[in-house]
Amino acid sequence: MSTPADEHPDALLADYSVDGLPTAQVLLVERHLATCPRCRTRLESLRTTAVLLRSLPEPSLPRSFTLRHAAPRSRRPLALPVSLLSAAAVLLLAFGLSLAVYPPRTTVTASTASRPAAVAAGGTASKAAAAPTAGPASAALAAAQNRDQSSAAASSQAGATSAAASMSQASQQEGSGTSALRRPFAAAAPSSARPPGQASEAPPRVPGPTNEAAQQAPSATAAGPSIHMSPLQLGLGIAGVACLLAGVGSLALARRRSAG
Amino acid sequence: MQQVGSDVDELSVARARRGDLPAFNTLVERYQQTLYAVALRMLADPHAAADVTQESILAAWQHLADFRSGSVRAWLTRIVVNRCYDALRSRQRRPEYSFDALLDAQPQSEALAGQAPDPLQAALAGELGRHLTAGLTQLPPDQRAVVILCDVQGFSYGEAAEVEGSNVGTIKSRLSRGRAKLRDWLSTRPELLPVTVRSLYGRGDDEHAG
Repeated sequence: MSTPADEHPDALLADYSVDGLPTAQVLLVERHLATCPRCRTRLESLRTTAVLLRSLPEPSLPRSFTLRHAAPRSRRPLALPVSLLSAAAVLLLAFGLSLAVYPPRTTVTASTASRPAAVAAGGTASKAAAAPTAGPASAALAAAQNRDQSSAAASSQAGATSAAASMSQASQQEGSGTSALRRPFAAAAPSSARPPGQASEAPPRVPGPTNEAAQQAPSATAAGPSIHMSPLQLGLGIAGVACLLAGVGSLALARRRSAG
Repeated sequence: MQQVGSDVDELSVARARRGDLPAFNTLVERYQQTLYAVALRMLADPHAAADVTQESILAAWQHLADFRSGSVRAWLTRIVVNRCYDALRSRQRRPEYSFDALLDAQPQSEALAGQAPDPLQAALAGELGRHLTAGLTQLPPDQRAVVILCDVQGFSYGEAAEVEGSNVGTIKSRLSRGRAKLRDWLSTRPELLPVTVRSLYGRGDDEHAG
């Protein structure tokens, strides 16, 4: 009869109050309840707690949540942001890969550039030196750069094509992904390709311009910001960031439109 | 009664799927009170609860194709509860978020206290209701959700299991633990309880037993 406190089956009581016990334990609990007023009270308080919860007043609605107009179904409102953001992801991935493969800004000659560990080096010089191992992308790039400046648009087109090729290689995306990429890149490429092109045309404007660095490596040793990456890389980076910004912006717009 | 309601619901869902917005809005009108109440008890924040409710209803409209069969109420509530879990998780990542400030915003209408002839109702519309609501926020989210669904909203164990995507055994176990904690929470302020039930919480504690 006089049950010690540690033998009160409080956990079982709670389970009992929600019909959560197997039959054997139900019998055990009920036998205990028959002799223990303390546990009868506790069980009653558990049930009362449930009653109190059930009796809580319903909160009043702040407004009606009915939809005023038929919001577009499924993914349509998010199609633009999603495609922009995935384009940004692929572009930035390609940008990062190109940075890893062709580190921007070289300082020295073929001997350094042949060592991949020289990450501080980079840019056109290392690319020209590494051309045999670098493959068709850098070859196309070098060709595009060596063309005369009146064909700036053409060179950026070539850059776009080789970029699309390398991107599809790198990310193995579906055709739709690549075609979606091509447009923003082609739009961003001319503006980004121009400054380095001008630099190679008029070397004095920028200290240690990229093409000059290929011939006169020591003059390019001054440590500076990594502006001296190839037009292709710059284009990838800028197009990627632009797609990212546009994607985030359109996502915010879509959310606001759907909420309102 | 429940069966008739669910038949009507499925008819509305079928029409809403074909783009019938008024049909969908009849579902919203039928369940928005429940959805908002669940969100409010989960989050203890009227603004966040309203946002979650509205977002969930919009998501339900946009993903009507995902509704298979069964209880429309459970399906809608499931969307709300999942978003509440998300909101609580992101709140956890921002420790500056204060629960105390939120509890003050608890919209327990004082006007109800005057109307209620029942002392229990009066207490629940006032300080006791606030204390009990605060106790809900002390529970881990999974227990809180089940207590809200089963005890506050009166969902069956089966429907709560549908909402939670789990089985009835899990629901009962969470409800059991949550209810026991709330019982102890209430016993910390016995003076708030109506005299008729106060003795259940005040005495019979372990120090008196044995």
